[in-house]
Amino acid sequence: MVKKIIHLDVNDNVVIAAKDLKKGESITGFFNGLKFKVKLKEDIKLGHKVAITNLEKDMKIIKYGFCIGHATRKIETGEHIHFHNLEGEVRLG
Amino acid sequence: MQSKHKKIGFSGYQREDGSVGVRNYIAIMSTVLCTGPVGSIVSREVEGLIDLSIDFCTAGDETLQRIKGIATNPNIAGLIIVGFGCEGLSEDILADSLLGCKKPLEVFNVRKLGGAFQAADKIVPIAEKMKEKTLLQKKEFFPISELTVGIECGGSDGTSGITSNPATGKAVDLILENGGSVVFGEVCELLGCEHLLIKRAANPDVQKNIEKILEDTKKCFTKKVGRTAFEKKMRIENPRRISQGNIEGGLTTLEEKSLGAVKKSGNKPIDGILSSGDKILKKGLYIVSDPLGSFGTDIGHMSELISCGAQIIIFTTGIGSPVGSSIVPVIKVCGNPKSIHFMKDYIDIDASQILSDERSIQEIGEDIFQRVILVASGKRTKAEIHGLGGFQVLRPDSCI
Repeated sequence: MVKKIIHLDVNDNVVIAAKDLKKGESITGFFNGLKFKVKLKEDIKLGHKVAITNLEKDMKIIKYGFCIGHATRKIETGEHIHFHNLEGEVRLG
Repeated sequence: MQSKHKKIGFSGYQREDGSVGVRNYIAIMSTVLCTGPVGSIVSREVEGLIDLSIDFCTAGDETLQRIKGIATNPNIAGLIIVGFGCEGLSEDILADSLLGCKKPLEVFNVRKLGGAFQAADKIVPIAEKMKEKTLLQKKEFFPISELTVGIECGGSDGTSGITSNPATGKAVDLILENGGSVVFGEVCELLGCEHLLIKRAANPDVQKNIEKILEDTKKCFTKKVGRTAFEKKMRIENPRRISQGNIEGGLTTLEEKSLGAVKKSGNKPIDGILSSGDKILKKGLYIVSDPLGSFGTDIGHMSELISCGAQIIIFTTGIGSPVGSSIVPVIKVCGNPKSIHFMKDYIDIDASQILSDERSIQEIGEDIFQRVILVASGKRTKAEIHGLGGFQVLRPDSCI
């Protein structure tokens, strides 16, 4: 049975889609010691990130237990996280 | 784990310089494209020859060092060097640098021989003789300590850091536990996980060197870089140096990509930094770094690892990649089930079973380790079966 999501580290505020997921599907897991059940606000493709908690602008996005960048705007639980709302700290050029 | 593997090894070819090849190639290396079709004519006439063409005119010391390292790779049983006569890295400069390397060597100049076809006529019978000698060479049994395995990633996506890279990291740990050596590079794709690398430094000197190569690599980006066409199309304001394929596959930031990429190097201490062409003196895990020579294609990156003596490369991919190498067998590991389906002719190890919980990261890591031993002993990779070789040298001292 294919899992829906992968939660790489207990401190991660994002999970990764383990298969293509549809808007409206529910995903479940544990975050901050509490069980969560999140309804997806949009389609999430395999390998892409989805927020499992509400995030304010400038909050750190945590994946693998480390910061991979910050939110460039407010992000709601169940939203797709990608270049439209996530900016890395390492800048080139 | 160690006692379970203590008698394992592989069958390979002893070289006079003490190294061990897992393939037994005669290579024809043209020092410039102006030699014309010499390499392709000779490699068509003599079965099993590999054609390595250098496609630039000039080279400084660092590039010569890299090419010298490639020419002395253990998989090459004998080398034919062909020059034209006007290039900066001429055949005699390259041959002089190889004096004492204990590899059978023949050197030719196309202009002196009257042209490409005349040169090929002269070279073919000599190449035949060199090839015949390799056919008579017996394989012997060697321990894993005689292996140097290169690790590379290409076409990474959101599955890479979850499946193929951590599984490869387990295989790397097993290779090192069994006395082998591992090399990895692509330092431009390690920016953003400095803290993880520094933590694994074997000693304070290695730590200082890791900090330096990461800083030097970052400096290569200080000149303003433009956005790619894809970044402009998607209105991504800041150039990120992660590819369209990476972005479409779910990777968003450079540090996210790097944190996933570093997993392919396993968990063992990092024993040092090598420049291209350096040979490993003490078995262990090394980063290969030449900052200016780090930017380019996957095939070009593999030249760094090959120049440091890697006889095999494990290549992790998410999107899928057909690239192989003319000099070393490349084992392709993929963790994206869609890519496994579309690119099955290119993939050796299916790591997507980690996503479906059918296999664990540890189990796939063991599979990769076993495959390394089999491939070292002669089992062909998909890239070899389908003739997907490749050769490109990235120049660390790029000028013209």
